[in-house]
Amino acid sequence: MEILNGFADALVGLWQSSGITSLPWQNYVMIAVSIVLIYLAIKKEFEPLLLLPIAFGMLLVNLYPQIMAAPTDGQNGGLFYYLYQGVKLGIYPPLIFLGIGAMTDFGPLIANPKSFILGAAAQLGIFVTFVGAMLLGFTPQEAGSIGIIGGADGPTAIFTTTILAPHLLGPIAVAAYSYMALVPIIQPPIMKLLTTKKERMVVMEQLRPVSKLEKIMFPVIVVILIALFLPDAAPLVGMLMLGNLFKESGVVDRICKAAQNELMNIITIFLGVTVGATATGEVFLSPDTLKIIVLGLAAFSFGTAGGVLFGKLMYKFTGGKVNPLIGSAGVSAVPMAARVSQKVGQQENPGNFLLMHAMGPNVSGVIGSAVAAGVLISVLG
Amino acid sequence: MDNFTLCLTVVITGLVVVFTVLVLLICIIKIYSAAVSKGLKLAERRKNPKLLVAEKAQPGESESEPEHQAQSSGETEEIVAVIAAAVEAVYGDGAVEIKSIKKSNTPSSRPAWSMAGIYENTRPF
Repeated sequence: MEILNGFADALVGLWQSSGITSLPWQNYVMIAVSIVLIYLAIKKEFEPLLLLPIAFGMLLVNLYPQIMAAPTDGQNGGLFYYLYQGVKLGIYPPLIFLGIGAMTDFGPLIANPKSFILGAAAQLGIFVTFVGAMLLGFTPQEAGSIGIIGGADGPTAIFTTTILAPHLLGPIAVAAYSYMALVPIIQPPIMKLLTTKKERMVVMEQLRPVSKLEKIMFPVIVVILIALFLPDAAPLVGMLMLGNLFKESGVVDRICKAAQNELMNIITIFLGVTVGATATGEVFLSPDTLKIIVLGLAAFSFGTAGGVLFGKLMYKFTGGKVNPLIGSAGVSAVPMAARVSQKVGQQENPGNFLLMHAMGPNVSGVIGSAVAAGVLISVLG
Repeated sequence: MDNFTLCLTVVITGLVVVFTVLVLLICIIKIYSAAVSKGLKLAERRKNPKLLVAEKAQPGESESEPEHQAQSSGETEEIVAVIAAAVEAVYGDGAVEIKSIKKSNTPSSRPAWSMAGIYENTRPF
């Protein structure tokens, strides 16, 4: 009889401590949202490298909230609490940039430095969205974090949000990576609306070859200039340029490969799951999340428009030598935005190859968004 | 600072700083690219002394015009004929047209005949 009573008590205790009775209804909604995101990542291949870990981190934290719990007296913190320190202390995004730098070829940008202007113009989306977010009632720091979605750069968005508005990290990260995957859908209508057929058909001159010495000097010069003028952008731009120097020097092949592969993959996993784990029901299921989703779309749209409009200006000033479509590649979704420029250009003229011309603004957008993040952190932080 | 002022401050500061930094980068990249390509061209000229300039031409074209160019640079007809014969011996009959013959200004530690001998002996490698 005693054994039976003990068994019954144990079962009741297990039932009462289980997630089924202790989880609020918001967690179940978030579990459903995470399953939808997992579907989008796997079936529709929406930026799966990040969206899948983000979605699964979201799933885990809403099933077992203690996984993100801070340590208390006599008890260790949850697994993701410790992994999250890399996000909280601003370690992971610069390390991701190290890998990105090791994979990026800045040759098209060096061959045509005017592309920097298009990379700058595309950051218009960040600042327009900042104004929009302020008008919708967000604090300046929150507005800055939402605005940076327009930079179309995941690590930059996470780095900035961690400093300015860490409580919004979950929705901003999900919005940023979802919209990056939607670049081929968002950009073409805006590009066609703002350009004429004649402009879209412009064939650009072949880029000059770039020497190895120029490619080696580029990361050193960029980091000196930006770190001196804007120290807050130094962690991101510095690591980006370090990775690029690994690649271009040609003498550190092993660590270059490690930066591109092992390091990048490990940090991507940790960053993804811990960012996803910040997306709890009480943060995500609020009117603010809907506003962030709308503002994120506005950020991408204005960024695309800014780049294309500046491309039109360059078309006029160069006497028709610059195809305005490459301006849209200034949003730093590398290389997707450049491919979109190529695709839209080829729809008008099948013999027009804009890809390498668009890579210039595309990679300059990475630098531009990091500089913009530095400005926001400096002014609002 | 009220919200309106803050908005303007952030937008203007942000756009100005981003554009300024990137325009500065454009200027610096153009300067160093020009310097690097000039330096590389100088190094290339020092490495490869110019003896003559020869280009592959269509078969059947005459070789009389280049002789006039060579004479205007001070070379005698005999020297032009010797050089033309040497080029034909190396490249084959009618395969090359000599467009100009210039004296090399690059100082060399070894005379041209010594260098030619070295190339001949090391060609199998």
